[in-house]
Amino acid sequence: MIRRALGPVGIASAVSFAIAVVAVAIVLSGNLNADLNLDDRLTGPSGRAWFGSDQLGRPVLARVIAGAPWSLGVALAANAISLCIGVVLGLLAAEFAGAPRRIILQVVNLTLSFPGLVAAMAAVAVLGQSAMAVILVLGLLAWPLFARVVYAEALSARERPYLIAARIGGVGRVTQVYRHILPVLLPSLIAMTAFHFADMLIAASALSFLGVGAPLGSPAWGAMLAESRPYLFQAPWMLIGPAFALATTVLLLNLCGDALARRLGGRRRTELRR
Amino acid sequence: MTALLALRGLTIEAGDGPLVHTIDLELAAGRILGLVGESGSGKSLTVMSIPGLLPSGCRVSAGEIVFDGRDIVDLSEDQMRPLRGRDIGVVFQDPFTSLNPVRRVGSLLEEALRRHTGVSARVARDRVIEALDQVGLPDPVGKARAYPHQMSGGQRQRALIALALVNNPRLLIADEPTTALDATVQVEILDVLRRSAERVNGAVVFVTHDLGAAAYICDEIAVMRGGRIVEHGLVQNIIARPTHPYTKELLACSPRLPPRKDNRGQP
Amino acid sequence: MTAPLIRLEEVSVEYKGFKALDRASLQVEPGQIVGIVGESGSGKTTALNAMMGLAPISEGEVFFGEERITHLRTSQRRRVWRDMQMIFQDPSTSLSPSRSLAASVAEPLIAHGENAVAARSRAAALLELVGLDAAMADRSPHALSGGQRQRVAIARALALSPRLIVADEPMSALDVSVKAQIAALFSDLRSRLGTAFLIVSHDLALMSAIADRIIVMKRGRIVEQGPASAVVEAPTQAYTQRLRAACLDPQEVIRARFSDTEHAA
Repeated sequence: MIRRALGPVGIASAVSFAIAVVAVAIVLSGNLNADLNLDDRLTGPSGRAWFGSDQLGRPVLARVIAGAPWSLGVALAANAISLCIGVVLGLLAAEFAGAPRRIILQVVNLTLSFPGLVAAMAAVAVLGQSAMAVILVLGLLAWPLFARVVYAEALSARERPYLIAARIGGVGRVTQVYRHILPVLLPSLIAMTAFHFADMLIAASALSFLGVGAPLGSPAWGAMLAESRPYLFQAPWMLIGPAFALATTVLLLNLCGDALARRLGGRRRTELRR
Repeated sequence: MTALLALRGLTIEAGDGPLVHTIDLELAAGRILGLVGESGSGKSLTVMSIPGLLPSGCRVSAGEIVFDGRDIVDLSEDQMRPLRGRDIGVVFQDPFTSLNPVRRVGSLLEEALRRHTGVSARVARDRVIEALDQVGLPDPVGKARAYPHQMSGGQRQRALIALALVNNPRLLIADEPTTALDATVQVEILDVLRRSAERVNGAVVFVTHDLGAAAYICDEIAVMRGGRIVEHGLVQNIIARPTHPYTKELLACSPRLPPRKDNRGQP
Repeated sequence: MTAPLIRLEEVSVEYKGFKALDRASLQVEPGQIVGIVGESGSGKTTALNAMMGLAPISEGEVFFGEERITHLRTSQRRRVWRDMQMIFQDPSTSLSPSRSLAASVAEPLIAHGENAVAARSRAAALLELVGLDAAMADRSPHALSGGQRQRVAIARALALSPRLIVADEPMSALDVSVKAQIAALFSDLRSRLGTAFLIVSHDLALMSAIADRIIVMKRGRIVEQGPASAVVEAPTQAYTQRLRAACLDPQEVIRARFSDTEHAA
């Protein structure tokens, strides 16, 4: 209901405004300082640390903000990689029947059945605890989700008479794809990307929670969640801070994705009414 | 002869204005009325308002629908349901999607029969086979046990007509029942419709865009355009001596074959 | 004698053991209007697809002019398609919903190397040719009626000035009053441009009004073919006679129905 009342533009501006206000407040209050302060260990929310401080005296809020780039960045990069690979392979499978299609679909199945956690640990073993390892693993394992959707929709789009007319008119394959097939795919792709971003965020946080990918002591949200476990009853704010950040971001992404898909894609671009 | 069905000042509206304006029609038992018009004329809306099957977003905003002396416009869904199953039968356009594909044809008819008359299963089965036979389906016993996808388009439409008539309704509404069928099958189905209506002495409202089909089975015709009736009368008068320019235009566009010539080239 | 524009010789199309087209032989001469009439499952659409190279041909040969075009690679087909275009049945899926009318009509021209400005002005001229206002060129197809959309599709088919246009039930999805207009448009274009039309339809009466020749098909086979007047007025085959009888002419029907009562009265 709120969604419907505000629309994607409304939500985007409301969110941006809120972020701006909070950002200004944080800067003004000096809460950005994530340094150790052993005198201030495990204290609750205070003027210096709005979300309290952790076992080393570091303000939780500051660390959450510091950890955002890792979590969000990894999720975004993984999202981009899987989007690109998925769309390309999906389109190729739809366009080239026979061996290429069969091979790609088999690769899709294989990739989907690959154990994610094992792959992540192997990647870290090879590349060390780094964002790159996580990005690669998530990106290279998640693309089948895009590929399958793109394959199915492109396959049916190819049979539409205006596509056949384009083919008969002499339009080349590549042009057919970006001029006629991609607009049809757009609503699904936009929605999928937003939701997928949220999924990658959760996955990246899960990995950093398990200690895979994020170096020790990193403020990645998953890692912060893991660190908060021994102090759950003493200092619950250590859990609440990153958990709140994670949950809110995911929720906002889902809402935006939903609204965006409805607005940008929409039936106007994909079909004519009778 | 009092009318079985009367539409008085019927107006149907959707979100942005009336789609059907003040329709006045009367239909007596045993008569077949044709509602003829092109797409957007409002004929389907008019006819679907009678059994209360308007699409969501459309509603009757003014007027009465008097069926058997009773205004049924404001009936609730619960009140409409027994009426729809027993007194008003509906035959839809698309035989491919109107029959439940996962149920045997016979069981659909049996259910319709038993819900409204409460006869025993055995009696119902016999009546169903009889109904399928009456619409001209060969091997009615086999057809009762068949699924819709095992039958041809024409056979499915016969089954639909049997379903609509299984409780001997007094009013049958047929919304473009032959439009989706092949030409050679259309005439057979029109015959089935007419014979079935005669058999139960029911009234029929037959919606079509095809003046030829309307001429074939209707007693009266109402020509609709833009949500209004532009001409209404006995079928032979409307077709032989049309007065409204739109009716004349429709007639002019109807398919006309050059006359048949015999073997010596004489018509 | 010049070769016919297109010729099918004993062509069959088979899908998993089922023959959608069974040894069909037919031809279209330059500038002719030929109607293929049949009911569902008759193979009429398959015949068109076979001609256009959109269906797999299992037997027989297709000739375009002197050239054998039965099995061609896409690059070779594109060359043939310059001279042979297609119109589809459903006006709501014939045009791209996200492009303007001019863009859709100009697409074949641009694909074959025409520059954008020339293509666009030719597109506007084509829209006028099919009875639409060139001022509509930049509109999207959303606001158009079924009949108007079909006109745009016809304009697009004319863009490359093909000698033959095949049409798959182009009037079936249109209102009664519009059907006749589009049929007249085909006739008009043939007279003006000399384009040949091969039109598939289930409507024998409609075809009898504009076709030079009529081919009757049933279950993948050609049942009867000949000059339109002969096929329609003096059909030799029982199936054709049944098709004829299925055309309900309102005035004929009324005469037949009510002559008895007149006699009785």
